[in-house]
Amino acid sequence: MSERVDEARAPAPAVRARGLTVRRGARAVLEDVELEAARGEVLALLGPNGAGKSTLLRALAGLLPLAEGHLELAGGPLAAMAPRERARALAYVPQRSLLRSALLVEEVVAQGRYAHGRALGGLQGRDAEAVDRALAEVDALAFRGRAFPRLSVGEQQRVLLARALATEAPLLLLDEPTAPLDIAQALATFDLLRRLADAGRAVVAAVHGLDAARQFADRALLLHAGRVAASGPVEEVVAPEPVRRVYGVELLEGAALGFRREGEGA
Amino acid sequence: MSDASTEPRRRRAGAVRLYAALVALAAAAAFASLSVGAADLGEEALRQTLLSLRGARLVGASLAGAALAAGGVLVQGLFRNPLASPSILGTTAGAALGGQLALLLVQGLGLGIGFSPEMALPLGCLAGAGLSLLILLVFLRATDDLLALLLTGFILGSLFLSLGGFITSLAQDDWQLGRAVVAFSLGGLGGVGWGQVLAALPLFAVGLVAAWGWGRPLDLLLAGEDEARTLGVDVRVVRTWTAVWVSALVAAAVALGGNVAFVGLIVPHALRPFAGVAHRRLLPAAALAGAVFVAGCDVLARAIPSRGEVPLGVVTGLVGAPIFLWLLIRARREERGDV
Repeated sequence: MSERVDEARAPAPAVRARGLTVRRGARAVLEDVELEAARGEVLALLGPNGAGKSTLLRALAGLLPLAEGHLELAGGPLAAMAPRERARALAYVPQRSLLRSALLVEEVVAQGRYAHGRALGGLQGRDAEAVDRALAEVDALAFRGRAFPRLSVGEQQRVLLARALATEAPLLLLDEPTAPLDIAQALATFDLLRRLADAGRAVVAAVHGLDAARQFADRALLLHAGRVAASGPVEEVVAPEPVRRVYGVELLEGAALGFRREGEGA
Repeated sequence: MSDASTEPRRRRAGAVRLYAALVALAAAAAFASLSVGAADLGEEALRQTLLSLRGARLVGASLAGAALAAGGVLVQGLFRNPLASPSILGTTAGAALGGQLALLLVQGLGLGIGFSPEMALPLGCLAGAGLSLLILLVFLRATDDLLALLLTGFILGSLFLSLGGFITSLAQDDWQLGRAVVAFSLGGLGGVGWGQVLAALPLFAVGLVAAWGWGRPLDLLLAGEDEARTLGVDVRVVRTWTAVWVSALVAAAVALGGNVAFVGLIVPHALRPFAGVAHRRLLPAAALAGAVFVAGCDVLARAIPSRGEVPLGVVTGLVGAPIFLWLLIRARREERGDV
């Protein structure tokens, strides 16, 4: 499947970055990055530690000033959007939340509704429904009344994902969503991301495991020292040549351990 | 599932119990405040006057306490730090300095004709509190550093106190002005009448209602600037306006009771386990509890046997300082256990 066919099928990408450059002091931590993700697809951001995956996600979320380049969402250029408009267009899930206060899980998820309705108003019926739906989607209804900091790291991750879902934004940006999870939880999360994409969202996730990316992503973008080393369908990016060039390791096709959730496709 | 559906009911019952307890305590404090004092209520002739005086004092104490506690909730959210409070950050000292300056200008130099000292005092406090918060926000872009925050607040507080001392010594040239400035600086509700209460009331009401309205973005800021921003919060706007509401609340409190320490720190702390941390639930409960705490301390100030009356700031300080120390030790211990 070529890039051109993809673009033809999805006329308006949920996010499109052109020539993205971010500097920290004089040093460019991201340079001339091109990126595009359409609704319905999972794009994996790959690369060794320090390659700029998190920086790229933060830039896409509008949290970093761009030295150069252009960032366009479905609703228009990111730079021209008001904060609440931006929050309805994209949802960002950090690796770990800085939240240490004992807000209840449902209050944390309800934060995703801030950009809907009036800023100084309260939660409406529609907001409560969206919160319930998001909690159900990540299977967190059982602990909705517990204090967020008292949850395990894996549970916290699910709540942060639910908060992102409650925004109903078409673009999901996730920074290593499975890093704190065990293998079963990680597979469940990837399954969920896949389903979310199939339901019409665009999912952009920084991912550490190349195997997981191969299994769940449609396309991949491989970063190396802040530049794009390879980009395209995931089987072309997670392939012997780019992997050797960036990581300096040999990719052995079919040699790795594989995992599957129980009762699935067997 | 049953766990999830009984949860809201359990929480509502908890809230009812909390408010019932607070209202009972408020009634007790009000009764004590009206009946305790140097004079005897038994004399028919004086009774009406005494009750009116003590009533003004009770309302003043309650407003000051509610304002300080609500201000404490707001600065703790603003700086994402449960150990912040208007007195620790130097905001009350800034408001006190503003008030002293206002007294000096209006009562001493006769500037601002048409302004009575009663009106000028809250406005001076407002300017002083606003300025001290502005300095703090400008100096502390990265507010996660507890030590930097507490040190800057301490330095600001000390600076404002020294400047206040200077103004107090300037004011001694005029006996009446000197008395007014010293009485205001010591803190205390001895001289509070209905005039002062009415002058401070608008600041208090605007500050409290607005603070409640801004509860949701303040909740979002608890998760840090980045998360709040991606969820749609205009961080700079929320911070600036929150600082304005804190200034209004602290100014109302200081104009009424002078520099009263520790209320804004310990009341929100004591209430969080019962009311939760969400601002819209915590603020009203903390305001009510703050009113009870200061009205109670004011009764103590009158009841403790001494030659005059023990200043209110002394009582809240004696009660509050050990509690603050304990909170600090507990926070350090949690921090160490966390990492």
